[in-house]
Formats: sequence, structure tokens, C-alpha cells
Amino acid sequence: MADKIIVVDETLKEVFYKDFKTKIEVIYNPIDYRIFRPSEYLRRYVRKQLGVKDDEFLLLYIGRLSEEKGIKEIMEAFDQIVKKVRKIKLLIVGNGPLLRMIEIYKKKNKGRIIHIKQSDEPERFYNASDALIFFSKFEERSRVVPEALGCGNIVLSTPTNEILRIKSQHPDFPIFLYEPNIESIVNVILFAYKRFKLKNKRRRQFIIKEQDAREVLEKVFYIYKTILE
Amino acid sequence: MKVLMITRHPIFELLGGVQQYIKTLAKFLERKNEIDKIFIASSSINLKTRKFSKKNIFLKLGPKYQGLIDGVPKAMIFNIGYLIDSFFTLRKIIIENRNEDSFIIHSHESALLAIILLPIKLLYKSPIVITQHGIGWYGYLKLHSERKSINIVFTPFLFFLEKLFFPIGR
Repeated sequence: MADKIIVVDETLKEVFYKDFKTKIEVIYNPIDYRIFRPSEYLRRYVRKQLGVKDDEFLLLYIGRLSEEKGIKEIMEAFDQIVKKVRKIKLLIVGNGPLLRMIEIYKKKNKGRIIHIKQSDEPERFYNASDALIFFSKFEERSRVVPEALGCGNIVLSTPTNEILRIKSQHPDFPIFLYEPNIESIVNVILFAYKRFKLKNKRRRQFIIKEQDAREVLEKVFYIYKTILE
Repeated sequence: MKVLMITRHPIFELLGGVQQYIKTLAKFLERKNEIDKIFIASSSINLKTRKFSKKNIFLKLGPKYQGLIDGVPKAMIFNIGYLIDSFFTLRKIIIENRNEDSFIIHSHESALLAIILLPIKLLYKSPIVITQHGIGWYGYLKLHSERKSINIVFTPFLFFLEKLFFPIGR
């Protein structure tokens, strides 16, 4: 039926290729790196708004609060972390069916978990945070990973094919992998926390060129034109 | 060139990949002189409140968000009104613009949208581009059927749709 099928990563292409062949095109999710860039001003301003001190490590989860996003496992792991580390907080940005569970953990770990249901400007939270935690049961190349890297965050991720691909193409990027179990999540967060204590204050922007919006969207436009011709 | 972008059913989180994709794409297309108008069709409560660009016209698709059943919007599963309403909304736009020889439909997944697009394609022969984000319906169904949380009557039906329009799932 479709004249062209755009898939958002190489792994999806492998899945669809057998049936669609020439119709299929890989075009990554576009990231506007003019928005997703490090900002010291945003960092200070948003941390103050959220009540996070300069010397506190802020871990960020951004996405839907649903089972396939691994939020249950992350909460369980964080519950263990707060007993081990004092200067650490978790910022959750998102809404979804597991909202009630977040509220329970929030009450239990008073002041250590901050929850924001919706936001139009995710770059504020990337800048306020030190590390992004990404847990995927299905998603391969989520846009939160390049957005977080663009703002200079450390990324903690499960080893999806696409994350491994990014890692091999950009070995200098601060992406740290963990297995999808509680123990591994706890360990990777502790590792990031120790690294945070040592790191330079100035943040560097890590750009995945093939996801740069200007390049990506030219490709979409080119597809429109070729189909119409 | 006129572009009709269709996004899926009620997406309620502002940070969703599909919404971000459409937002960035619409802004980019606006700057292209070759694009005259961008129609964005969605049942999303968030998209309708936003003007992404001057050339963007928002179209309301189907009934509004009605809550979730284990993460799946109810409107997607139970409300046939969504499909009928969506079909007629899209039909109206296509009829109004069909004289334009450069009218393109860009749909952002999935099986349910495909059953609206199939008759449109057959009737009006509009070029269609489909963007497959994330896991699609097959992934959802796999997850839910494992937990047996979807009504058994609907599971094979949706599974059939996914297989029909996106023959290989994940």
C-alpha cells in the first residue's frame, strides 16, 4: 500500500527488509541540536527550581511510565541506592499507567524522588541532570539517548542493538551499559555517581551526526520529491 | 507541495517520539518554500493545542482520549467511531486538495491507521509514506498477550491487522 516505508533505525530495517526491500528507508528520529545542547544557565536555574543542590547527583528518567520502559526495575533499584548513597536524587519526567507506583515510591523516599508529569521543554531536565537512565524492552534507538548526549549527560542504557551500534561508532561517548536486572542497575548508577564526583564541571555536547535534524529532514523531503516525480 | 501528516491515536505524553518527530518535521517543512500547507491530523489532546508552524493546520481525528487499558488507549481498541470519524476527516481533506498534483500523505504508524489509508489509497491514489516508530502494534500485543491483559476477542483481530499491513512484527 505504502509508496515508501521509513523505519527509524537499522534494526527495524533488518526486520522489515525481507518484505519491503526497495521501499524501505532508514531515517533516524531527528534531533535539533540547537535545542539539545549544554546550558549552564538552565542547569543552575532548573536545579534551583527542583530543589537539587550543586553537589547532588541527579539521575533522570524521561518517558512514559509503563512496564515496557523498565520504570518498575529502575524504581526498585533506586530504592536500594538511596540506602547506600546520600547525595543522589531521581527526576522522573513522564506520565502513564504506573503513575500510582511512582507516587508510592515518592512517599517512601521523601525528597529523593522528583516527579514531573509533563513538559514541553525536555532540554531543561537534561541540563539539570547528570545522567540519563534508559531501559528498553522493545525500543531500539530511543530519542532520549541522543537528546541527553546532546545536553552533555552520561547515558546508562540496556544493551539494545542500536545502543551498541552508537557505542561502536562513537567509542568516546559516555554511554555505560547494564543488564536488565536490579543488581546491574544499582551497580551502573553507583558507577555513574562516582564518575560524577570526579568529572569536570564543563559539559561537552555529544552529537550523533546521522540524527542531526537538518540532515535527517532533508532526507524526508527528498523522499517526498522522488515519490511525487 | 502539500503534506498531510497523520499521527496515531491519543498520545498523551508530550515527550513522545512521534510527536517530536512531527513537530520537528513540520517546523522544517515550513522553512521549505516548496511546501504550501501542512495538515497535521491527530486525536492527540496535545497536538491539537499547538501550532507547529504558520503553514500547519491541525485536524482533529476521532473521539478524544478516553483512558487506558494496561497502557493501550481504549479508543484504539473499542471505538469504531474513531475509524469512521478519522476516515471522513481525511477524505474531506483529500477531496479538497486532490486537484493538487503534489499532495502527499505521511502517516506515522500503524495498523489501525492503515485500514483507513487503504481505501483512501484505492479511491484517490494519493502517494503514501509510512513511518514505523518503535514497536508498533505487534510489540504491544506480544506484551499484553503474555500477560493475558487484552480481551481475547480483540487480540487476534488486531494481530491480524498488524500482520496484514506490517507483515513482520517484532
